[in-house]
Amino acid sequence: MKQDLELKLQAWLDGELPSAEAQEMRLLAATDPEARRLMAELQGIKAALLQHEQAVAMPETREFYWSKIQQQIQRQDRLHPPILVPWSRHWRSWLAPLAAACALAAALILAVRPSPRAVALNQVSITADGYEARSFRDQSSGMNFVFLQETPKAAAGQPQPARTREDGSSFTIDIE
Amino acid sequence: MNRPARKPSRPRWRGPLLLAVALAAASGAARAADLRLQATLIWGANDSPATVNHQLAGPALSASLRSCTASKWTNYYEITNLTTVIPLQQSRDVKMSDRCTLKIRNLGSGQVAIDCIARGQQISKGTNTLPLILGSNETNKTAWFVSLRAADAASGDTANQEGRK
Repeated sequence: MKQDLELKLQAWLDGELPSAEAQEMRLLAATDPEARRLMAELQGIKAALLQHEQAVAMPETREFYWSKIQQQIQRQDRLHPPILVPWSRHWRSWLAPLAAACALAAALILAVRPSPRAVALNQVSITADGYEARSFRDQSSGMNFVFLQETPKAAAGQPQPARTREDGSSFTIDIE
Repeated sequence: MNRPARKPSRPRWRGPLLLAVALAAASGAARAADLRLQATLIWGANDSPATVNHQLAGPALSASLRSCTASKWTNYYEITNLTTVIPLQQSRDVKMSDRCTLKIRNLGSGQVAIDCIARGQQISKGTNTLPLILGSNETNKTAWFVSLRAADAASGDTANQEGRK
């Protein structure tokens, strides 16, 4: 007999099978001699166990047994009460490092941020004779710009470039 | 029943404090770092790119130049582009062309003192914050410009006064 069939037969004897399978086992026990032999053996074992089972009397009830454990726990709690930390002390342990970190972060930001002087610095202190400087800041590109230009007086001394008329002939303008 | 001994608590402020100090130190070190300066000589002209043997300046730089010069010149050509490293409170001569040399001193915090020397003559002296464009008219209706900016640290072109010329 297969092992799963043996287990099923055992389960039937223990009343653990649903009705359809129980009916199937009942038929098997009625028709199969090997199943009948196994069933008889199992029933014998079951009867023997029931007959020779030793009755054990608990010295105390279940409720009393667990209440003793509970009392022991409560006694321990009274001996070692939980340490209650005041909320102010609890917060102080976080606030102190937080305040220090904030102070250092503020110092860091102030150190990294360019000073207003640095942003506004765009000046030409000296220009050569005959030159003038114009400086400005292009806000759209964030670019400082310095444009050096020859003054008209200086330009007057320079040879002027040849210019072209519409008819193609060239001429120059003399600046005095 | 014996309870386990309470583990001594570690000060919670030590981690954030060390982190902040490290950040502050790193910041201080970065501020004291050398200035990697990118200097670009630009020629502004109305000549078309087909007739000029130089490449056009980058679009961002061209846009800045057009904005600053009210689009007086159509095209801006890159003549020289070099990168130089200037330690804090030290000066370097940056030769932009045969005629133009800039003596640049790193004042820190992106500020520079610039002596502009053209044809051996000092044209101007000033103190400026980067990024900066120096410019001047030429007689032939063109202009030259020098763009000075802190070079991108990630660009990797660490050549000292080397670059495209």
